[in-house]
Amino acid sequence: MSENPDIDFRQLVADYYQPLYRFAYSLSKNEDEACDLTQQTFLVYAEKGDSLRDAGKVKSWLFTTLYREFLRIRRRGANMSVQEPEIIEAEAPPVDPGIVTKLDGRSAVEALEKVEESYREPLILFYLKDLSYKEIAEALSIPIGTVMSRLSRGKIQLKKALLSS
Amino acid sequence: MDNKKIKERLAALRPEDLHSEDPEIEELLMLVEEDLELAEWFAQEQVFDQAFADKLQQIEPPAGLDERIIAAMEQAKAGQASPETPAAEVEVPTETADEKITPFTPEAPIKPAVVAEEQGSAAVPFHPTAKRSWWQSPSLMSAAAAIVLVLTVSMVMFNGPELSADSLEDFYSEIGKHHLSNAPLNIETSDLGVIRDYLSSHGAPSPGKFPANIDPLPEVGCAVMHWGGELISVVRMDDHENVDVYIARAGLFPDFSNKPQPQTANLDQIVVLAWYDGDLIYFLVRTGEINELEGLL
Repeated sequence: MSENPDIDFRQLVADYYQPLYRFAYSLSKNEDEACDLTQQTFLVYAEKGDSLRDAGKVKSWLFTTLYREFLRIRRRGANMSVQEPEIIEAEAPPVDPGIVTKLDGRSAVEALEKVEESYREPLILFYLKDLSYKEIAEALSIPIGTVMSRLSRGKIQLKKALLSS
Repeated sequence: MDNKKIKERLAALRPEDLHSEDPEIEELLMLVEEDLELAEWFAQEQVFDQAFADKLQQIEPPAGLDERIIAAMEQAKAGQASPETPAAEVEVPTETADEKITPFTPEAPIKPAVVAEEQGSAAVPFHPTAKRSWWQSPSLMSAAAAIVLVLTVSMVMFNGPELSADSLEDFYSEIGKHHLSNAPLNIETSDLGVIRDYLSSHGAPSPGKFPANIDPLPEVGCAVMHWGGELISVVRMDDHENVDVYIARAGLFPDFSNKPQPQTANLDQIVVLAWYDGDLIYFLVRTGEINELEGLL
């Protein structure tokens, strides 16, 4: 159990369980899995959080941990698949604001599901707004420049998905 | 910076970035001010982004999740129950700490095997020496158990949580299956420059210079793969048979660079030679025996 005197665990849960759940649900698209991922993240924190000396890094640590837990579970059954050669459009097609207005949280996640996963993950974190670009890069273990380019490409795919649905 | 690049950078800006003192952002915003069409496009992007972000904020956790998490914490603290009790109200299979090492079942088509039976190791480090091929050095054998221990139980979770060792084993299994399937390539070319450009343009890891004894092998082509949430590059070479080099960003296996280099693994019909270089990890895969890797590095 974390003994870090600077961090009250109940407060930590209160502060972060909602954004972590949103991230988990956006990744897994499954309520139960999202609950489990969120809980597991806090349990990992409870076990390992002592080593976190900088309280300012707790939030990004939690998001990173949740993402790693998600990947760990996913990769058990992961198959390697070929990425089809794609033509990346120079820019996203214009999307009528009314299309987005009609969405709810779940349908927004369903639209994200149609985005290639390497683009989807930075896009989710971009829209959740909990992490800075640098923190997104750290959480996903990719360079910040890659975050930027994936965001741009991800948005193109997201808009195409919204238009096609 | 061309228009495409400008839009790519602008598309990644959040509303709160507009007040940033970052010189690059300031420069981008100056460009927006000077170009009416760009300004209109950027305004539409911002409206879309805000609307979509608002929708994700509508996702609410089930009532009581916070209390269930705290209860699980208290149980864990008291040692009364498994801390991995599912948070979901319904019974669903949940990962437990003890399950983090993925066993390779007999059904698995590719199973990491020991390089030397007495080691019980799926991945064996080798230390190159001047007089002796590095993979033949018996002095390395004693390190195998320690390596396997590190590979299988290291779950360091300090300031940067890491993937578990089972991910590496899973990865070996996957690249083994993929290699044996003789999967098609995205492009076929013997020009490594074209391969590098293709991989870079697709956001996939692009190889640096290959080791001296691998570099002369003629390239056949490349492919971009997905594994989990990560892009993996495959560069195929011809050495009287297909030799696939899988390239991953080092962040995928953060602990790998701390291991003795190179690493090898014997996966039934194929062998893997893995090494770390810069910010990339290379996994050379071919059929045959470990000793056939002689001379490649």
